[in-house]
Amino acid sequence: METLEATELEKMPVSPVTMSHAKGDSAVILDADGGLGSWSPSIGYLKIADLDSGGTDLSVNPSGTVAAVAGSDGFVLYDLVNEELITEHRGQWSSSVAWNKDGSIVAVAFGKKVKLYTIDGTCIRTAGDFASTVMDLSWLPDQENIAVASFGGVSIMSTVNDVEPMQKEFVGSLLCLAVSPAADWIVSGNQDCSLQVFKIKDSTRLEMQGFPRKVTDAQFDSSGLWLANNGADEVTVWDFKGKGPKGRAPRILPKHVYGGTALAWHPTKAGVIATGDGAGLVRIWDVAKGVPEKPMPPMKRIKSYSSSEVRFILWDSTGNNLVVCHADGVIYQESIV
Amino acid sequence: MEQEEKVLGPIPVTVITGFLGSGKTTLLNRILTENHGMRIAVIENEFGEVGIDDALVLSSEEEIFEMNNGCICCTVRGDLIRILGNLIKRRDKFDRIVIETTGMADPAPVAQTFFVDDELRAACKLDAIITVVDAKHALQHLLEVKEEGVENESVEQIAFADRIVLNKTDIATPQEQADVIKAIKSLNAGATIYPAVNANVDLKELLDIGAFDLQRIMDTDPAFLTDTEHMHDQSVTSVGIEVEGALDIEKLNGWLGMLLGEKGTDIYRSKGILSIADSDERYVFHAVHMLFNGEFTTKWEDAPRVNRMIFIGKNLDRKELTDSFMACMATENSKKKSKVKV
Repeated sequence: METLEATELEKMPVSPVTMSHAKGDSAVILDADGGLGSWSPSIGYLKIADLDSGGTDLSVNPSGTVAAVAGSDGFVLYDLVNEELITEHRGQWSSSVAWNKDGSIVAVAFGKKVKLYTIDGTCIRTAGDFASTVMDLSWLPDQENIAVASFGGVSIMSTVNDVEPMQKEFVGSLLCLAVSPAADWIVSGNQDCSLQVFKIKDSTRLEMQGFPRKVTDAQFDSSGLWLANNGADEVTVWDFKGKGPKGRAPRILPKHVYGGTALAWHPTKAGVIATGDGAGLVRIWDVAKGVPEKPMPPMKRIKSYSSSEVRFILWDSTGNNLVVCHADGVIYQESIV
Repeated sequence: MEQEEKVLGPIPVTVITGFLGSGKTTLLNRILTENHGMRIAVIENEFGEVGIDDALVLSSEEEIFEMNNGCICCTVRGDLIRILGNLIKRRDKFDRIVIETTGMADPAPVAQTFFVDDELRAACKLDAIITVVDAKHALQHLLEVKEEGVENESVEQIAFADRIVLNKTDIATPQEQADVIKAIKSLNAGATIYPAVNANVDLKELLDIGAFDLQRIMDTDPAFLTDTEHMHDQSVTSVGIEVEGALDIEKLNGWLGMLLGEKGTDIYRSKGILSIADSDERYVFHAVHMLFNGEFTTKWEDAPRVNRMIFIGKNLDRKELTDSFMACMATENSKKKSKVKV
């Protein structure tokens, strides 16, 4: 396969916000103005549509045919095959969109509510009002419940009935969520520079405080044994084996200038993570080889073509290539093999 | 292809407050339509009716968050954190942000948001809080007696202001104007008042003020220490202290820490330019409630080393503040030599 050389790299005209896998080796990218584009290693960036709303989040269904796009003025479902709008709902801030595993339902944060849509744009459920604008959504592995982040904690709402959501209370403003693959833990990153860890089956709550910055990204790896989060010049990785991280010191991935701005676990290899920082550096780490509390060296450094903040990192399905997306619009793919 | 990267500094943010019907939207429209060449992003409350094609307008529903320690200083505007965070990603699209609050909005969480959120602190600089006041009808709001524990928002909006646009002077009698000016000055002696019709104030007086910029505080407060008569039925007032001499930095830190810690709930804003013993540089600080920011700035050189401070808030005891400030002077000698003006 031919790929673009670094000298041929063109910047996206508008700063990207996020990207998601699409069909084959291509990805879909959302920019800060709500522009939707495609990117592939052979063609580069192509604008698909202007959705006319500050872009906040993007999720493409598993078959790569429909993009759910969240923005500052609502959300849209967009048909990527026919390049046409399926449905749009304006007038409320939308921070998060998430397809379920089989792509039959997309959950949408819409102001203080959560709405569920089928792929043809039919709304099948509305839940809320939550205590604030919903900041993040994450499907639980059972595909019947959704974790909702808002002020005051995590709500676990059912997709199928109107029972009161299960509450995981925390007095603070939640920014991001991660659900472990075995559905035993929910973790939130928070405005008050803390990480809150909730056990789903009981009232256990663990708190990791003292990050110098707010925690805006937290992710479990595919095995569920490791959780990585930003919030400092180090990316912190917690050991969730067995009874969880209580009493265990974390692994430290050091030297992220202006913080870890992008985190991406390898799709299949447990404990392997790519991280990007505010100075445009991307490194790959094997956290299992680290020692608790001691900064560890990276397994590999990726050649960077931009010194601007790494906005997003995406592994391809094989786990052999990384797509790196910078805040200045530079995008490229690097082989990891 | 080589592209020249434009270095973009922190985004200046102007906050417009004012009671319902005072003319906030009129002022906002003036800011947006004046021929100043700036590209402005506007965050307006959900009831706003601004329709300006050239401006990026985002609507906001006030979401006030208390952080988990329950401290008043950790009460922030979650909606602003979210919206400004999104705007930062479009930094190259505009030169300035204007936030228009609702008439009932408390300005403290707006200002505190810029102190508390690290991302916003780095990317934005709060330029000034401008309060629009209706010259004819403001007094009745200011004198309104609220129930115990309920704040009078119009008083708070004036207490927090760096600039006050005294609007609708065309429909207010000279006596009404004089009365409202007197009331404003009793609440906030440091804010400059601009009489206006249809909010027609020269924008140079309202934008790029640097009211929260430590380097510019001393350039921008001509009325820093204007002393005024007090309204007897108001608990909100301002206290200015001006005294020559040098301060003991340890005593000062101890006093300010204790003062803002114990009484920060009542002290809305405070700022000062201070002379510190054994330092050639001015020490400048400002605080919103208990959130404090201070640093050494320019050299005194031949200028008289005069300490100037102002406190704006509720239940301020002028004598106690002045006495405790005087206790921070570096030596007994310098205390005796000092002349106090309050």
